[in-house]
Amino acid sequence: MDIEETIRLLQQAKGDPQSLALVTLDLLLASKPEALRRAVEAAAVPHWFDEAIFARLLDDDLRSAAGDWYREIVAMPFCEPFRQRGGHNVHEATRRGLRHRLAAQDPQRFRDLTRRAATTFAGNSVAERIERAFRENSSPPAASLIPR
Amino acid sequence: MTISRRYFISCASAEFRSYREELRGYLAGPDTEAKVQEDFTTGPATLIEKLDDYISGASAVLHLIGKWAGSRPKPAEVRAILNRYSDFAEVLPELKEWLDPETCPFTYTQWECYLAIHHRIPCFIYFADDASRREPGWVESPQETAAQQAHRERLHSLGHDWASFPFADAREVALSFYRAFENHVSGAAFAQATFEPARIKWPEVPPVHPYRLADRERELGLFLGLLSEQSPERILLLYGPSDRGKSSLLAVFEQQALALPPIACARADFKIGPSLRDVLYNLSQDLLGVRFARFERELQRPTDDPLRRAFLQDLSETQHPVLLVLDAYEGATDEARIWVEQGLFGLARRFDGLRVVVAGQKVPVIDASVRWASVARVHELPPITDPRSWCRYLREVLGVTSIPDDHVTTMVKAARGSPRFLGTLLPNLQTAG
Repeated sequence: MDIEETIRLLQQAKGDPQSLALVTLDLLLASKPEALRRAVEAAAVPHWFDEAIFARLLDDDLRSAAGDWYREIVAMPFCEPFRQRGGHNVHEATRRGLRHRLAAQDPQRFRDLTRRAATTFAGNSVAERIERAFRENSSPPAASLIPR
Repeated sequence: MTISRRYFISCASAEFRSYREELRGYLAGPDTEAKVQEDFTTGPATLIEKLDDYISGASAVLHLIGKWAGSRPKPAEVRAILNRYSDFAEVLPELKEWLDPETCPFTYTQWECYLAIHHRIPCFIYFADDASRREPGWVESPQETAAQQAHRERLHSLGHDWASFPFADAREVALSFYRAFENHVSGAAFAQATFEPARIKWPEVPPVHPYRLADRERELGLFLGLLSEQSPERILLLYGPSDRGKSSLLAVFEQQALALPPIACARADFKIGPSLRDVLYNLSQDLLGVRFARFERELQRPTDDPLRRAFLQDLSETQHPVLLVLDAYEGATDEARIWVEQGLFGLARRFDGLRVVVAGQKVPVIDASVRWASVARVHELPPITDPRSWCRYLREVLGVTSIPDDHVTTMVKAARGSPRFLGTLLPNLQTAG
């Protein structure tokens, strides 16, 4: 990670938490394969995920190595344990920033990921119903609904 | 005059007959009655049903355990009581294997104790030792001793041996009972209950153990102060936006506490409003060394109110100091907030064995109206804007010396001292550094 570049990007964020979160994320992923970025985007759509949920959120071409991607993502510093469900979640500021950017820059992918998440949380438990309700109500360009 | 308190004195007559009348003399008063088994030997219905009728409405049961178990009810009587409470085995699953009416080994006296527990009537258990006075002429019997030993083991499995009292004579039982009953935590009286002071011994708190964060000396000081025996505070409320590193700090708190046996520590996370039932269950699983016998029984039932109360009751009986760490409090449901702020904090105020740390973007508001205000401290978790703190972190914690101080200063300024982002970026700079 180049220090000069890091400083320049941090200064561009102007102290905004979501922008800082994205800068941090981009710097962490800069030297990683592009597929990892797509896996992170998938993980950032719901509020939480476990390995099975994560596998269903992934793009088709990544799914066969879902376990590897899962272990790599949950070890990254923007991921934290989601204790009550025995899973993980992308930290709030990173998650919101990523979703916002995805919805703005690639609304079709955002819609696809959101739809996939709604299907993934298809069960009748309270946690799944809550998550599904969030996903069914977030689609661009209704920006006010995006950062949930 | 109306009888406001009803006590039942439960003991085997062969060993402690004279205690019954002596204790009745100590306990009965103008508005208080005390009954013993002999009071129910006449009239319709079986003895065990009559005992149950009284015990189910009693204020407390005093149960003396020595080496004599006493006589057993007939199978028909056991059948009658089990018919009366078809859920008996579900409520007290620890007793299930003995509940066949034909073979049930429980004596009348033992049933008195189990019925009290079944009805959630405060049951004060007194264990006799060699110094306890017995009836003249009483002689030990191996079978009776074995039956009482089995009873003690069942009480242990029920979690009801936590507070037992040795005694020499009836007067000591009465004195001990008065003191314990006044301090007892029971159902509706829970909120008003008081506790005997200094029952729990907190460990000597050493200096801060090394931790892998930038400067959080003040917060660690507050936290370790909270764990000290003399701490006037028992609740620490930490708040701040999502990038202040609250969860990382709580993880350090946990590590520090776990290095201080015998503190039992558990952490709950209120992200996305988990049900209080789930939160309590997870806490009970993580609090090793605390017996959650009542709570585990209540888990089998669908109603939540007794469950919440049972958790606090069980917690109040811990023999170890307990630290609860609650994270992401802004996500707590109304149900959880009410339980935390009215139940848990109320317990922390009264009970020296409990400390609570709550962190979140929002935390409970302290004002003059809350009774726990006097034992709570609120602290805003600040950004770490002093570049020297981050330079020390880089050099001393991460072991990185290749990044010049002025670069660190610029980064700290650009990131507004955000522990979340600087704490993520700096360790990853070292590879390029």
